[in-house]
Amino acid sequence: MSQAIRPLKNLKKRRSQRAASLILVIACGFGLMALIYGLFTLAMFLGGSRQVRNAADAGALNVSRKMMDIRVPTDPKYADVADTNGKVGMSNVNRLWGKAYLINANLEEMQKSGQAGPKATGNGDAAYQLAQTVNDNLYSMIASSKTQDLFFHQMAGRRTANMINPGMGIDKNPQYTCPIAMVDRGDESNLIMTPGQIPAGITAGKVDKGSKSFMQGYVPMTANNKKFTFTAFHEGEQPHLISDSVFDPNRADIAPIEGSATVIPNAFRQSALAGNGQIDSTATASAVANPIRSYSMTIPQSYITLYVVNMSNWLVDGKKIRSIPYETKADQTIHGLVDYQTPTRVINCFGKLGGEYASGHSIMAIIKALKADYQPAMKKLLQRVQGMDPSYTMARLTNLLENQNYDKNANRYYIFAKDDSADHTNPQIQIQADNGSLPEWINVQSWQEDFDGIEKDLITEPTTTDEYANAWQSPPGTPQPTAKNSGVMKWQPGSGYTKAVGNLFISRTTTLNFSSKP
Amino acid sequence: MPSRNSKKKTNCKRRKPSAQTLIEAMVGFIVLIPIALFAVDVVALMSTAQTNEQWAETAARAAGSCSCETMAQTAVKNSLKRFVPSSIISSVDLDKITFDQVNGQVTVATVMQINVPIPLPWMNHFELRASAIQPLLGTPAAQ
Repeated sequence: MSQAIRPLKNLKKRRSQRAASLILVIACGFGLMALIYGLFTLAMFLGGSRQVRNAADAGALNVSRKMMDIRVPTDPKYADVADTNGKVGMSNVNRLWGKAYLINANLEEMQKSGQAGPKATGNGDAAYQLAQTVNDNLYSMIASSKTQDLFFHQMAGRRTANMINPGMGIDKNPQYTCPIAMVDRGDESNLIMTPGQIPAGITAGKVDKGSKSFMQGYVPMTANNKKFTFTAFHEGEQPHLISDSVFDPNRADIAPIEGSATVIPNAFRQSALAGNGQIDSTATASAVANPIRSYSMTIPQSYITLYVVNMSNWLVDGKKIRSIPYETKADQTIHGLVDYQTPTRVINCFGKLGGEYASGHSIMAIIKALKADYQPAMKKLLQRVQGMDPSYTMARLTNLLENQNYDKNANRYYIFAKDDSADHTNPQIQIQADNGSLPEWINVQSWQEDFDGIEKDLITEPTTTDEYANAWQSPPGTPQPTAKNSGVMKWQPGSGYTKAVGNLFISRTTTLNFSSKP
Repeated sequence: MPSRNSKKKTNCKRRKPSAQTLIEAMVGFIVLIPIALFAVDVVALMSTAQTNEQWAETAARAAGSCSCETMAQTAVKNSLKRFVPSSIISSVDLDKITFDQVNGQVTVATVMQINVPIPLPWMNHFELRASAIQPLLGTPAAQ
């Protein structure tokens, strides 16, 4: 038995001695190569994953940036808040809503003060509906996965994940929907406002940042029973990536804004995919958009009218004989009744009128001539002017009115914003008579039709006797002639839907009473 | 008692296997060590290539946040200044910048100088290039 086994033993001994190291070295070599290959594959996959992640980031950033280029045509009523091409996009949609909000805030105030005319309700509804239609058109383009895919591919499609699959591009993950979100809720929008431009009694959500105030973003606010929501855009920020923990709680499908189903979102999520048939690498990225541009909340093409009527009524024994208008200047002597035949004799009646204008005949002097607190009128004017230029101050308004003399040949004056910029963002408040060169968008002929509010007394002046006017007659009469002076300021509001936002009417009456008795 | 011849034969037998192992191991290592060293260089090159891509990405992102090409170039240079040279990567520099305002994108190419950790004949210095494209985020939306 041992004889038979020995040769085999010898053989084994010989083989193990001769090739042991070689086998070990070869085994180590294969092991090393396998390890190198494994590390290589892992490094390639990790590198490829990073390429996909970078592509997703760049794609999401491009979507958030290029969304600003999506524009839709606006309605002619909102042409003054559109861009230079007459369109509305994400960057100026808040401007559109700002105008609609101001119109409806003005209307709510008109209703509260009982000055809403028959056209008011219809104008408010139309202003809102037109803005909503433009908004919805824009929303449908922005929320569309087709639009988002296009912008995603513009950036991600130009990249490759060559560490996963050499030469292969990066695609959009087809299994991924395109969620949108409204982040930074409660923060500022890109709409600058001044509290003074909001009519009294209306509360607007605002965010103060530095010296500026902005309309609040993604917090619905009500005016004229309509909900307005502005898109939040942080001032001074660029589009940037945000984490899932910021995006997810603000997704439109998870946490919609109450009452605003089609509010314009400000954040987008994209998913990239690269694969080589064996392994797929996906990455998602979310980015928040920002137009890096802010606007003032205005009704750019709107105007205020202002006119003055001075009327003298000439009475004999308490009976009105005639009315004669007089100018807005002091010490006008008018021979009102010439050789007037009374039952007993012929008299000539005179009046010295316009004493209330002794301090000047600028429009400011005319307003101040009212012997009552004229501030409510100034506040009304300023609120409406700030609807054209929110930065306008009371001092500037006073200065504007002081520098404009009242022209007796003018029927009325217009206060409006002259704006030579293509997108109406550089308002220059001006006052001009209707006989001057007014902008073509002001229809002087049908000015009264532009008002959807009803005129109401704003300030009533107490009557004074012989203080600002004097009456005398020839031959003298008994009792002595008297000159009573009174005035009233009337305010007719306009919502701004048809451009007119207010009409200040100053009516001053001087009543001169003469006697037929000697 | 074994004969002299047989003793000689036994000594020869004892020396032979150890020499064979040594020779086998030496031959094996002569093959394996260069492979391993080459693998170290390959891994270093792969790693630095990825690092270069990441620097290009960072630089492109910095350029993307600028509103004009001059600012973009400065931003890229500033971002690349943060690179700390090492024995393997001696420098990362801006190769080319394409600031495309029409399409709203910027492409930045970087060039990285590499010294492989195990210098091999004719293969001790490499120049790696990478480019990245990013959207222009610093330009305001159209008026």
